[in-house]
Amino acid sequence: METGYPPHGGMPLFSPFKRHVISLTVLKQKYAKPSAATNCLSGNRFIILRVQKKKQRTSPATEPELSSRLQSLVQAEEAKWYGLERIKWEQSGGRQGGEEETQVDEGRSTRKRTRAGQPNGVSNHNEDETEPSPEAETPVKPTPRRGRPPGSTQKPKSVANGIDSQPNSVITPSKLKGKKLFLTPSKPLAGDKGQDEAPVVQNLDRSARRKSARTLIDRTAVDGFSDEEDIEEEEEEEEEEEEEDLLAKKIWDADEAESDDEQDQGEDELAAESPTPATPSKRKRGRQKSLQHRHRIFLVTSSTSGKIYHNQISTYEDPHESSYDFLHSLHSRSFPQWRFELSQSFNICLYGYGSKRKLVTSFASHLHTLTPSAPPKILIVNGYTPTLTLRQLLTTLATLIFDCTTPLHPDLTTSSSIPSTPHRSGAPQLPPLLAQLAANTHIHLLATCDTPNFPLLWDTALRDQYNFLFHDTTTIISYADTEIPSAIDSVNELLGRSGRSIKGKEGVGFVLRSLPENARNLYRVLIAELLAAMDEDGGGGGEGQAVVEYKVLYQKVVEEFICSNEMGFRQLLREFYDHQMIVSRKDGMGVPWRRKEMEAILEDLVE
Amino acid sequence: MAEHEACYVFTPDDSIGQAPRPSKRRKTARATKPNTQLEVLPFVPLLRGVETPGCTKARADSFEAAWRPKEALIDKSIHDANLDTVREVASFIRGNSAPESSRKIRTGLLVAGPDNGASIDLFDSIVESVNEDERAILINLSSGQCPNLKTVLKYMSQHATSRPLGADEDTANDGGKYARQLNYDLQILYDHVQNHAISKVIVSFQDSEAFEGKLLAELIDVFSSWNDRIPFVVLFSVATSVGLFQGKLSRATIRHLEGAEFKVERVSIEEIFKTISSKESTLWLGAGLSNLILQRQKDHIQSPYALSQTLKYAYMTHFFANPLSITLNDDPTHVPLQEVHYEAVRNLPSFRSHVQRLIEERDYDTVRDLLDDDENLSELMMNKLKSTRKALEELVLAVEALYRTQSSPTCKKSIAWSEMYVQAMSGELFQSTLFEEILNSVKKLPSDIMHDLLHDLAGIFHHEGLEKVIIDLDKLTSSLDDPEVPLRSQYDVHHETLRTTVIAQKVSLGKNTSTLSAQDAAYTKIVDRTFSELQKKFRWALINPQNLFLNEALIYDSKSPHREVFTPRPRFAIERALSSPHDYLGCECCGGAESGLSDTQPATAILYQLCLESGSVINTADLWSAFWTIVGTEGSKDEEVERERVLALFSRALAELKYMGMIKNSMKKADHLVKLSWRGL
Repeated sequence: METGYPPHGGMPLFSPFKRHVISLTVLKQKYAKPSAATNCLSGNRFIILRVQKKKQRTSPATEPELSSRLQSLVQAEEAKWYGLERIKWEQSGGRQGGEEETQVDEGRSTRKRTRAGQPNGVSNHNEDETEPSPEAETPVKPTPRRGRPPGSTQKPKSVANGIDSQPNSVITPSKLKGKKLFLTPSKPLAGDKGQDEAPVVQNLDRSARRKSARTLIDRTAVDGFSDEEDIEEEEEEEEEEEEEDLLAKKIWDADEAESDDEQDQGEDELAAESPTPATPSKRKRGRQKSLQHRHRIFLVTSSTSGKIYHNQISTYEDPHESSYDFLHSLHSRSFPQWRFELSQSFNICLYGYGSKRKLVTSFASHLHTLTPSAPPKILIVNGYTPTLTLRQLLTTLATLIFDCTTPLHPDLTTSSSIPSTPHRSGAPQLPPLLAQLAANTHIHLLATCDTPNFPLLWDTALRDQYNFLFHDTTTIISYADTEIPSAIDSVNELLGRSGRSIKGKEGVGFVLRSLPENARNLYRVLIAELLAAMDEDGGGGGEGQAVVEYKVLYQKVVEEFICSNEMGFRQLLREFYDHQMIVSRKDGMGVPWRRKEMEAILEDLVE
Repeated sequence: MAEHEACYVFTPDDSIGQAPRPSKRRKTARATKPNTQLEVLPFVPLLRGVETPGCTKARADSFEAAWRPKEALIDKSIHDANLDTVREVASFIRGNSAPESSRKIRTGLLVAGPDNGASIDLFDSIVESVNEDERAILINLSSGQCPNLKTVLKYMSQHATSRPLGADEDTANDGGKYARQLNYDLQILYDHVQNHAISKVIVSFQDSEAFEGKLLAELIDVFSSWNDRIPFVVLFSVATSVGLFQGKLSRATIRHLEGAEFKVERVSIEEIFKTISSKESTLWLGAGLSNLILQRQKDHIQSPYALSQTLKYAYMTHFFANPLSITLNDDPTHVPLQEVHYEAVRNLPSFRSHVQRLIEERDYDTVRDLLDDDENLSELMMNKLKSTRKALEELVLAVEALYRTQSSPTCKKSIAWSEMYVQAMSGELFQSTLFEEILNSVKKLPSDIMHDLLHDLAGIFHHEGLEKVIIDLDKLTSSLDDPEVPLRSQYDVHHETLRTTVIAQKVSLGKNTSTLSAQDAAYTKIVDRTFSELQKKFRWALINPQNLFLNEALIYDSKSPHREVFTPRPRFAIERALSSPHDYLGCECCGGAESGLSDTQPATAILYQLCLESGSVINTADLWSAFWTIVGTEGSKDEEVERERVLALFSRALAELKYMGMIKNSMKKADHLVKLSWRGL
């Protein structure tokens, strides 16, 4: 529904699943001017584009002319995809049944719209997506006029329910998120060049960013290959029945949305139990809600993958293995040079993308093989280890130095990864100390740096002491095997699911079992209150939206003799907070669970 | 095993790199065959590995021979530069001017300029100098170590007492005494001072500006209350200015201090640069490289030490990578050249142009000899090397002479020595307007200054014509009636007057040269001669060094390793590796698409590019679906497994991006990422 998007909009989305959306987007842009589109579409109206893949319905072609125009446009757009993307459409198209219906709907006039036909004379198109016609291979240049000045017309306020019925807003689902968020590979569209040239500026543009965020959400709302997304709640309701089987199969996004919409709580059950790992492309409309869906979708996937990850990665064969080896051999050719540089009291800093561990290790063994009789003492420090302490480093270094009898000072080569984290937080003394060590002529330092902006961390004094020579050693070997201890943990942390947090119902049950009686009671009261609050305000909150005021909860708790004073109350809450079983919001407390989970927890507690 | 420890001692047996080792060795087997020699040799054999160990060693030796004297010179000039400051500060510390009653702390403010890298050395040498006749201890404080007063005091006590001061150290005794005291009690320091009869406790602040004002005030307060027992002297190294630093301190604090300002003399960049290129050089830096180094020095604030390291690296590179650098060895017993060396010489551009010249002179036999006979070529090289070196020396001397000349009062324009050197090395100096201007300014000099200048120049280089001129000038000036009044040539502005004439209500300005006295006329003649002699001399000396035979061996002018090694662009490297991995991988699969996404690229690269295209907040699910679209093979038999595989890659790529600090968790929205790095910013 984002119509007033910056003029560069309407790029093909990166996802082939959204093909139809794209075509419609273009379509809409084509007709963005009243002269074209609105005339055809009977006035300045609000249009709903519906895309259906699975169900083949005959669509009454009410306006043949428009219909054909649309079709050709869609084909052209597709051709672009075929030509430029090389993303396989065929499969997806085939899977989806080959035939699609595009329904252009007139929203305002049709609350009672039926699926098959558009009462207001809006055209439907049948297009054969699986087989692009040969002539369609020639990419059609989009006309440059497709954009509109950002924020000009019909900027949607929000995508809350029923908003669509605003007059004057042409709903093109998902129009540009593709472009904005992920410029697709098929960027060479001539018309868009201009805007693309300054993506940075655009990105930095605040309003653009806000918009992009919104589009993102909107996209969530509308596109995707789970077809039956709809715009109007009522419509959804109508359609629910007939599509239910499909929905069940098609995973839970649709029903989830509905549950969010408070239409049908029962459906939720279905969704949650659906074993299918989330398919990313299900989108629902309604911003907040869709966000949460997404959230959950991804949560499901990532948590299941935790166990699988290691299997998958260990069996994964990188097609570029030989290239890595080539890069390695390339870099290792400069070993003698490095050695010379080190011997001239320079230190070396290796940078570039990719794990340099293997390189450093083989450099170390290179030094060893050169002088097998009196090998240099080499200390390897893995700076990325979060537990590395200064003391540890120094004691290991000390053993090296004092072990050695003659000569008094050994030639010492220290290899270390200087990563970002310990530098930034944990050990502020580490860099000066390392620099001091490095400045010693008997100690050589070979450091590796993985972050892009590492030299900014050093001031001139430090840099003087380090006396680094920099070498680009891009290896492109994944960090994940060595430098990142656990990729899955890292991802979880990235997504805000810290490893510490207990997971779902079982975790809560476990924690609660280990807590005293009154703590359990407190949690029960809390959950009950939250559920009640949810029921009261119509179930607006999907996950953790409902809150209970601190005071109210305290009162309840005191009434039930769970605790006698506020101190005790706080202590109990503290415990929950530590386990991330409650979250504090600005107007009270909530829990990070979904309604269903809450209910399950409550059941357990009551038993 | 040990690999996952935070730090461990490397032993080759557990190295993972062991397996590929043998194959790699075999590749260069011929070159590395004399393994025993390699142990001692820091250099690798060049010329495709056919260089003999002897030659390789000779190169290494010539590097030492060429660089060590230079290094000593530079070190000396760096050291000498602040010798005066050290002496001054030391005498200030030793001095005891203030009467006992005024309990002010003696404070030295060392204005060192923006680069305080060497200030530790400075403090050390100050203390050394003070220690010559009394006992002083130095406590260095840097802002990083001093978060609060307690820590500072603790550090001071520890630092002071842990330093071995002499043989009469009685630690056991001390230990028992301190047991009852808190470790930040200055009593410990006091006891130490008493025990060891220390007359000065010097507390130096390396980066004074970085200290918290409050902390400084507290510290000074504490010092002043102990000042009657512990003889404190405080040294601040100030990077900005004393005024600014003073603004940091409250008036009450300043009242405790009795300060003196010292200017820390720094060896100038020019000085070092002159040292490297003038005195007894074996290697000259070319114009391009010199320019690069100087530019870097200008752009980044760097210490003289850093400059000397940069220059050292130039030497290192030349001797490491240029097989002909072996010819720079003056040692008469040096290793005979191999055939390949001669072959290499024959491929030099300067050899070609030499041959070209011979052909133009129709001296075909010589050419034939040079091409066929190594002996002949060797002889030519010996001669030419000497002459080329001589020519380069003359060039530098000419630059020096010209630099002196431009310091004369009549020359308005002046450029740095190094700049002039760069111009000379690129062979442009002689034609430059600067040169003309400088020479013209000579014409305007009065006789006394001219006299000094000529003597100066004669000291720099020998030129017969010039010496004759000096004799004539001396004759002329000695015959003067009044030796105090200098002679002026006709070019001197003093001999020009402006004449204003009004003719028919029009004003016309005219220059008029007043008539010259006989002596002035004679002097003018001498000036003319000087001018022509100088011009002749400079024309002869300021040649284009690129035309010299074997300049490739004597001049090092390659920017390439320098730029990458000293001014790296790590961010660019990472961005490039991620956005077009083909550049590095060189594989067939990813090469096709010009800067596009393709499913064969490494997962992290794909994800990075997707992130680049998105806004600042990214929905993970979107990212995933985009990723799946690109990487996943739709419709494969077992989609579940495929999805798992892609998801694993996706997770790994995400983790990597996070590791590199490109994305982070968004606190505001669930499941959203915040992009932290933009490309090309």
